This record gives sequence, structure tokens and C-alpha cells, in this order.
Amino acid sequence: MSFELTIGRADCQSNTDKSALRRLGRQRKIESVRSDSDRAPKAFVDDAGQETNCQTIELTCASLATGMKCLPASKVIQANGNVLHDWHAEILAIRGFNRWILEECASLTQQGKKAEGEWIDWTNGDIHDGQAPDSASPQPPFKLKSDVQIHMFCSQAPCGDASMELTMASQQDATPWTHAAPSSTPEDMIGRGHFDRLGVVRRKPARPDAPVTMSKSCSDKLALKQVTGLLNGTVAKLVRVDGCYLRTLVMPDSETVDDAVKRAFGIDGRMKALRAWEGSQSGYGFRPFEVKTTRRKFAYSAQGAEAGGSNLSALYTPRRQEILVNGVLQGRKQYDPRGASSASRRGLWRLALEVAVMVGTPAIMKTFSQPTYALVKEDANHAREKAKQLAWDKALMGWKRNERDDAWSVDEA
Amino acid sequence: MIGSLVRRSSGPSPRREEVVLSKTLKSTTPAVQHHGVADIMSSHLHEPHPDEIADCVLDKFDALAQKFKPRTLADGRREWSPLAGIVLSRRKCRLS
Repeated sequence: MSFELTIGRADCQSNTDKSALRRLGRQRKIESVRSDSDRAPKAFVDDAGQETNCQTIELTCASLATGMKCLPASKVIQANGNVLHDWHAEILAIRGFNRWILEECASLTQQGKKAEGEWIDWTNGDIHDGQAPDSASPQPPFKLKSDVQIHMFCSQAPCGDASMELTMASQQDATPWTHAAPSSTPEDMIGRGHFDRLGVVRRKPARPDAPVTMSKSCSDKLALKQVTGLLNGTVAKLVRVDGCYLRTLVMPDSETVDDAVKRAFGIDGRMKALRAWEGSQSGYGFRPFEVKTTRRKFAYSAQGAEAGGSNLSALYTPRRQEILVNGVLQGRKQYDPRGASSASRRGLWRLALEVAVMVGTPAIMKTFSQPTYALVKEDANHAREKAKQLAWDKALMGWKRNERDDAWSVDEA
Repeated sequence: MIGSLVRRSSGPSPRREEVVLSKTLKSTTPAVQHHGVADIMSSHLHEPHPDEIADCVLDKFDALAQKFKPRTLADGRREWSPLAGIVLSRRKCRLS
């Protein structure tokens, strides 16, 4: 007996033209790896104990984003949950993933508690890590299906620590930029300059004349996702976090400096102290991703582009697409509530509330019915806050929170 | 496997996996092979090649309408942007 191994991307084929599909060899077939009928496996057994042929990998793009800006610290207070704080591509793609997963939950909820989702399952009160269901702090009603793994592709090295060597090499004058120099207190986060300091938490880079942002670099945020998983605090109340950690980060070969990546993300780098942490009962733990490289190029990368960076930011999920400018929908003024992205704080809270009401678990409904976003966050995630604090104390020292944007309610326009 | 190791891709994606699989299969004894193969298959099948992950995002972006993409200015100069995407992988099973 022989069997075939194919690597396919059913979802990714749907919108692409056939010639490109052939050119890129998307539906690849690996020739039969053996032909000895006595020794080859006859079938695989799936979760339900049924014999299957499971030789195909299916890849699905759940979210993608472009973008390269963030909100100055002085403007965050006006955002009211409507304006994104940080729309660097990596961060917006993760927000998009959160939106997508919530929409999958909404869809499954509409089908009823006996239904099976394509990507999401009901947890049905699974007892998790020996912890009994608790009505005051109930298990999330949903989980990503257990056979799904999550990967991320970035067309550039993430800003911050993982790309410091590249930043240094690209300087005509190696003198570090001097704007917003750190004070003597270690709590002050540095921006792009100060090349002598590696492995530290940084603010997002900006032009020397730009107002200061308190958004942390993508390297720092991705490093923290190794502790919190990809779900944000709102979504983590509804979906189990332990199935939503990033397994692979794919970066361009030309932009991957091994030492930088190991330092920024690796188990022997600045995250080292977290190896000793055995994780929390709520499913949080230190789950480092593996960095892999590709030589694939993005057609709109900075290399060879004569004009500047685009002010347009695209957000795509299989259920929704948006074009954003300055952190809100294109065509809306920046603080107009009608301009809020579906992946904004307000957009996610609103949908999470709808899902919680449909599911009907009293404690979860109560969380999302709190009068302000601050109270929702406080109510939602003690375990998450503990995990983040541990990461800040042990690994990502100097992480300073942004200005608050949480004193608003879900319904205020 | 998971950790600080940086894996660099080289050459066309599936062939590398194929070579590894073939070697592994041939060096495994029949007595333990069924489980051995299942484990090997499982680990390999759950690890898509980085080029495939990149292609999944790049192709999806390519398929978007032009209005989602950085613009080319009237004088022909091109704008740029970083791109990032989340890709889900899973084994696709066909009933035997």
C-alpha cells in the first residue's frame, strides 16, 4: 500500500487565480513515500476512534493585517475604545484573530449547544487541569479545536529587540537617535535608539519629531504572547487560552538575526527565568514559539519602494475586511465612534457581550455587563493579570503600561 | 523542538519533508512502525513548512482588492507596508 502526503491550503485557494495557484505549487503532492504494504500504516484513527486517512495539512489564513503606526500616548485617553492604540501589522493581525474567533463563537452559539463548529468546540464544562467548574469563575464555554495549530508570518522582523541589529546596520550614522532619552529611572522605556542596550523592553520606534507613544514594540508584545497566548482579555473570558498559543513565527530569512531572535524570544534569552514557571490552573503558561525563516517576499515591502510608508492599514479575516486610517475605519474622523474597527476594544466588547448573552452563563454575562471597560477587564482576568505580571517581573522588565483607555461603557456612542 | 532554535528554510518546501520522512520510515523496524509512523506523521503533518505559512498569508493578501493595498503614486513611486498574518494548520482527514 502506498499513501500520499499533500500540503494543501483549501481556504487559501478560494480567492486566488488558477495560474498563480499552479505557479506557486500550492496544492503540493509529495510522492508516495513507500510502497511496502506490510509496513505502511493502513489508516489513522481520528479523535472519534474512526479510521481515517489524515495525510493532508490544511492551512487557513484566519487573519491578516498591514500597518505601521500607533497612537501617541497623549491621544490614548480620547480613544474611548474606538481608536486602535497600535496598528503595526503584527498587533492588528492578532486583534483580527481575536475578532474572528469571537465571530466563530457567535456562529456556533446560534447553531445551538449540540452543534459542532468548524474551528470552535463547546467546552461543555470540561474539567480543566483538575479544577472543578466554579459558578463564580466558570470555565470559558468555547475552545479552539484541539488539532488546530497557530502560526504567524511577518513580512519584516518585528520592531524592537528582535530587529535591533538590523536597525543598527541600517544607520548611516551609527549615533543613536537621541529624542526622548531615558531618564535615570529604569521604568522609562527607550525607543529605537540606545543601541548599546539589548534585550530590553522598548517603545515602538518613531520619527524623531513624532509625539511619544507608550505602545510597546512588536518584539516585546510577541514575547509576552508566549505567556498570555494570542487571546486578549475580553475574548479569554469566552475561549480557553491554552489552545491559543502561537506555535511558529515565520520571518524573512534576510531579516532574521539569530542572536537577536534568541535574545528577544528564546528560552535562553530574556525570557529564560520563565522556564521554571509551571503555569497556572487557568491554562496560562510559558509556551515559546519556534522561529522559522522563509525567503518568500512581500510585494509591497519597503525594499525598492520609493515613496514612504502607506497610511492605509488593511485588516482581513474570512468573515470581515476593513481599511483603516489612523486606527479607525477609512473615511471616518479619528474619534468618531462610527469609525471603530470591529477589532477595536469597543468592537470586541460589544460582540463578546452578545455572545455571552446568547450562551447564558450568568457569571460571564455579569462580567460583560459591567458599566465600564475598566471593570470588565478587572472582572475578567485575574489569572491573566497574574501571568502578565510574572512576565514583567521576571523577563520583560521595565514594561510600562499605556495611558488608560477604559472609562467608557459599551453603549455610549 | 519548541524554543530558541531558528530554523532557516532552504530549497523548495515539501521535498525537505519528504526526504526526512522517507529516511525515517526506512530506518524504523516493522514491529514498532505503526506507532512510530503515526507519531512521525503527526509531528510532521502538524509542522507546515515556513514557506507554506508565508504563502498562505501572501496569497490571501494578493487576492484582496487594490484598495486594501499600498498605493502607487501618480509619479509612479510605490508606497510600502509591513504585512503579518495568522495561519491555522490542521490535519485534514478523509474517511478511508
